[in-house]
Amino acid sequence: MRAVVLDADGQPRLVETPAPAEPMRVLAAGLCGSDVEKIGAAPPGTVLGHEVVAERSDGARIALIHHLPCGECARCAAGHESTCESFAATTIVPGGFAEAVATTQGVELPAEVDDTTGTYVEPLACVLRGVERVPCGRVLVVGHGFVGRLFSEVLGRRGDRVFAIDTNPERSGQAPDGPVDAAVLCAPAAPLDAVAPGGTVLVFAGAGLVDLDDVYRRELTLTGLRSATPRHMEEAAALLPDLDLPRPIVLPLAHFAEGLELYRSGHALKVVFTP
Amino acid sequence: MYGPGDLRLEEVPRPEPGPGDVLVQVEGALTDGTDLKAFRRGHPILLGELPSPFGHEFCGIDVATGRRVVAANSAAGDERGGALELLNGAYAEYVLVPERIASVNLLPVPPGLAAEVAAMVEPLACCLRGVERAEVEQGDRVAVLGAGPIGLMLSACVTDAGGTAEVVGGRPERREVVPAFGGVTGDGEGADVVIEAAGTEAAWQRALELVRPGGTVLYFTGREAGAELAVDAHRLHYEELTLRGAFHHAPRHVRTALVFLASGAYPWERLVTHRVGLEGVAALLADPPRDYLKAAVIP
Repeated sequence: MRAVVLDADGQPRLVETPAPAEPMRVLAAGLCGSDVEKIGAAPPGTVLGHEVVAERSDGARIALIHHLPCGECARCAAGHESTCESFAATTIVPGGFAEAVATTQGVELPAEVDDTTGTYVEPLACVLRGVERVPCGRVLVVGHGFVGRLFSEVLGRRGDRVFAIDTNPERSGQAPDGPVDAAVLCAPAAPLDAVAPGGTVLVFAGAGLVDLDDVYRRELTLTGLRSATPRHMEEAAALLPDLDLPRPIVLPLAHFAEGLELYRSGHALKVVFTP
Repeated sequence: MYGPGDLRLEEVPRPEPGPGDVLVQVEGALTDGTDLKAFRRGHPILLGELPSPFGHEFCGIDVATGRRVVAANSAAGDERGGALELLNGAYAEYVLVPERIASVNLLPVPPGLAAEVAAMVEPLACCLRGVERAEVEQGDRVAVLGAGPIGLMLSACVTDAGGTAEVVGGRPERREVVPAFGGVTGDGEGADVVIEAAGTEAAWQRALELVRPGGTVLYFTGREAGAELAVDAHRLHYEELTLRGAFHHAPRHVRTALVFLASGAYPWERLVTHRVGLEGVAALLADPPRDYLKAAVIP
């Protein structure tokens, strides 16, 4: 089969590679900012792509679960499943940017969700888990790319007053008109001064340096979130048909470099590949 | 487009958007009669300098925002007379909508509206303008000459304006579709309003013969520069005929057309009879199948 494999320099190349045992046909795989970070950093031979929709042998379309918590350890019990020792191993072999994958688990897509939009289940699941840690009220989303838009949509549905800023003025939503109860950092820029004393800051991306003095003096709550759990994947799949989300730029795997360039240049909000 | 009959599929750089420009990944473009005309005999107004990108009806994804959008191919206002800068290049993977058009005539597609139906916004906007210019009133008998996609869209617009659309001419395959677009087939003799939408010299002349005294003829299709029309001046004066042209659209027609498409009031999808890839456009235009109305061009 064909897959986009990182070469000796860590650069993605579309090459022939052995198909996994018990392969499922990949229908679509989304490009995530964390994939882009791994290009040039992950070991040669890596196949990226974890926002994957594949076709099961019974014909069902499933959004793949790429990490599984054990569900039994103390961390799982505390709701920090993504820090469970079992969680780190990926369950998608070799990775989503391929014609076929083997996997252990996934959630079925609702019929009204198309293959490419189905790749949103995974990032949406992360966002749903993140939103659980954000108090209701006035919420500022920092970084209004694709994931920021997911947060805006989910927070807005919850009834929060949502503000959104981005270094790219074309992506910004409404700037905050006063202090906010919480901020969600989807980008490495952290204007904590926008958060009211006693407020919460959810760190959802590599946020760079955060001024801990601010956390001390204004009694902020700083919380981090990295990934989704199977429960959130189920919830995301069920919620997806009701959301009004941006559509992806869809490209064949053979145009991986073009999709990468569209993402890196900031031209495209979201890129999804089809084999 | 290198010239009449000479359409080539080439690898070209993706357009780079400047400030205010909108880069669109084309989901689907539609062929139309103007493109067919341009393919057969050239079209200096539409295409300008050759070689030129080609195709102007499309729906796609705004690359920067992920919105599904349509755009009209110009930023025409109501003022006529100035040369329109027309957008071409929809038969491509990407099309750049320049700021001057994007700022007035780029619209988000309502949820649930299929891309190939939304892409009809431009010709339907022209039809809405045509029916507006024809001043169709409740109860008018309106002869529409031509049963192509434009004739069928005009039939729907006339029906919604309160008139009875009587579609004249056209091959049997097309006349069968007329009732679905609110019209009837007939001879158009003595119509209150006659809309010429066949694009032939004979149809231009026939429109004059059909209209009743006091009636209006609307010339919807374009003729080549220097083309003349023989008008019976006696009838024009004593029968108080009104002859009008309609070309293109204004932003209000584009906006109304998109809502009209989304209303689902007419089976717009039936106007798309064929599907081709980018490589199939030339062969299709060179020899359109008998049952052809419009083709969706899927990059």
